[in-house]
Amino acid sequence: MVKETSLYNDLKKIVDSGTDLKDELNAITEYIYKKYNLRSYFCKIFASRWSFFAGDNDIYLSVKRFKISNEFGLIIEDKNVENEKVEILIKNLKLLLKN
Amino acid sequence: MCAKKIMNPDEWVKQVVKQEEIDKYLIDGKDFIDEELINKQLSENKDPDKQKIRDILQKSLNIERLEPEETAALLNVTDPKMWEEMFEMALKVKRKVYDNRIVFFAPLYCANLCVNSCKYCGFRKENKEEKRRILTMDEIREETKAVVAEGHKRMIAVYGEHPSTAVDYICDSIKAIYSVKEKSKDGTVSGEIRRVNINAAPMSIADLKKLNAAGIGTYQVFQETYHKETYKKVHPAGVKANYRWRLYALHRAMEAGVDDVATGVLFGLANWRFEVMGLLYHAIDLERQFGVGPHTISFPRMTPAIGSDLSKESKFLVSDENTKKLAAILRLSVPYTGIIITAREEPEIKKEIIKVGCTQTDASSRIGIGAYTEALKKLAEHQGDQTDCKQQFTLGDTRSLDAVIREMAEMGMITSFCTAGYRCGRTGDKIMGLLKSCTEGKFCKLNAVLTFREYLEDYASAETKAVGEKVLAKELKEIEAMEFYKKGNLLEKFKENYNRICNGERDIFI
Repeated sequence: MVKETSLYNDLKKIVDSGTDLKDELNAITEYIYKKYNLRSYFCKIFASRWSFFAGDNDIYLSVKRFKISNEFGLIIEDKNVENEKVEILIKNLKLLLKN
Repeated sequence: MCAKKIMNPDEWVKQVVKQEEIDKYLIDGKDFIDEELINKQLSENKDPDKQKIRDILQKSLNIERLEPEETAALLNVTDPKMWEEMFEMALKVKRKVYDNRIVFFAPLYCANLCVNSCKYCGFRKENKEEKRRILTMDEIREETKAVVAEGHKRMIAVYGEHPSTAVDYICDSIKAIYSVKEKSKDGTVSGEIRRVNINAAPMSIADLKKLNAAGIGTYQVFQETYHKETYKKVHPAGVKANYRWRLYALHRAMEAGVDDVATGVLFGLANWRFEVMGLLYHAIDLERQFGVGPHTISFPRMTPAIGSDLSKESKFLVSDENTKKLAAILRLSVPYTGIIITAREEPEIKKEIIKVGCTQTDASSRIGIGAYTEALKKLAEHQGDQTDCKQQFTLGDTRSLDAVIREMAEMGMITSFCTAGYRCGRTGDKIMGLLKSCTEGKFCKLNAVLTFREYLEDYASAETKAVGEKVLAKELKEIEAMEFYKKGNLLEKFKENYNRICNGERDIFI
């Protein structure tokens, strides 16, 4: 629980310190890379279409998709990171970006 | 529920064009088609020497877009042996960027009401022989079911230009298409359209934003002809009479956030060499203004349309031989752009032209309004007969998807229904970057195998399955051997996905 709160606070700090959504999401993907060694990018969702929006533009590996909100999705490298860690990350991102 | 009020077509036509949404893309008041310059480039690059041509071919093989002078030189080659080299190189370029895959799609004609008077088109408003019809959303779903039942996963929805089928209708139809989820033959697997591309009239940026939000794949607008005088002659009235409104349709789409756009020419209206140059200049201007060129280029040839004399009598009709040449030059000029050959072509010529670098084609196509469901009803009476079916033009290839896929497999090509890029953020400049670095093709290879496995499991005839299995076996062997796939866990994930599909899961992609 402490860890979850800390993660949320870290992510919120990034969002609060940004002035532009794209920069904030870029910064979040950098944070994800540093914390989990996972490269990632955000997409804008238009029905079935997911268009690249921010983050690592250079991923050549198998990926996993997560819908974060009606507007945004996160794509991360499909690496052997504990599922639980990824689930917590997604849960916190959903909470943070729900608005 | 009240029906939406549709504006009078004559009034509607007057308010479509937004002049400021043309002017903003002009450079010093000029558009990017400088006819004098194109004609000069074509005439100054006649009789190119072999070394010059080989240098240009090498540039294509390095996956660099050609400059107009270079394309003009290719267009002027007369030596048959040099053409053979060019055809071979076009295929090499295609294999390098896209591997040996061919992507299949089906067109869905939603409506044939039109405010335009295009002299080559059966939908033109003066054509009294055309029975006008707009599909309801229920009918669109029925049509989609028929397409899905063949095994298709990608569709291009086509609309005339009319207030009744303007952007709101298009958005509703996209939703209707995506909503169809069908069980396959064994009753367990869901079939569906995973990517809907649109062929619709040029729109304002505001309307294009609506389209984008509806989740379209590619937005396709053909310029028809880049030759201004010809354009004026064959588009005498309606919104389409405005050359520049159409010329900048894809620019507006890019600005609205649609990052995959597609262009094309209706070959047969003007000199084919000029048109190829026009397509190249279009790609260059999109790259210059938005950093990314067209996702695909199409090169339909004019074929006879009911009620259109021009479609039968034009002096610029393109021969089979020249069609093959122009397809090869398009492949060489924009190596990282998809090239679409349609079912307008007869099977034999289609087979020939695919060999010079095409990446997409349609099959089992019906181009009459409501024609898929009608075809099912009429199947027992007269299979494949198009003569009693009113449509925009006639098709050369009316074979089933299964038959065309089998032919491709016999040629050693793998059919792909991949829609992964579109659903993983690999669109626009991102996919272009991957194509230019020859990386996207490697993902495509994996996803082609996965989607072809699905097709063979769910829809293929025994005959096609037999040929298809051989192709898949070869592909799997190649994938195992390629260094690229040994990076990270790509190969392991691919194998896992492949096995999951064999075990009945669907729509899994890399």
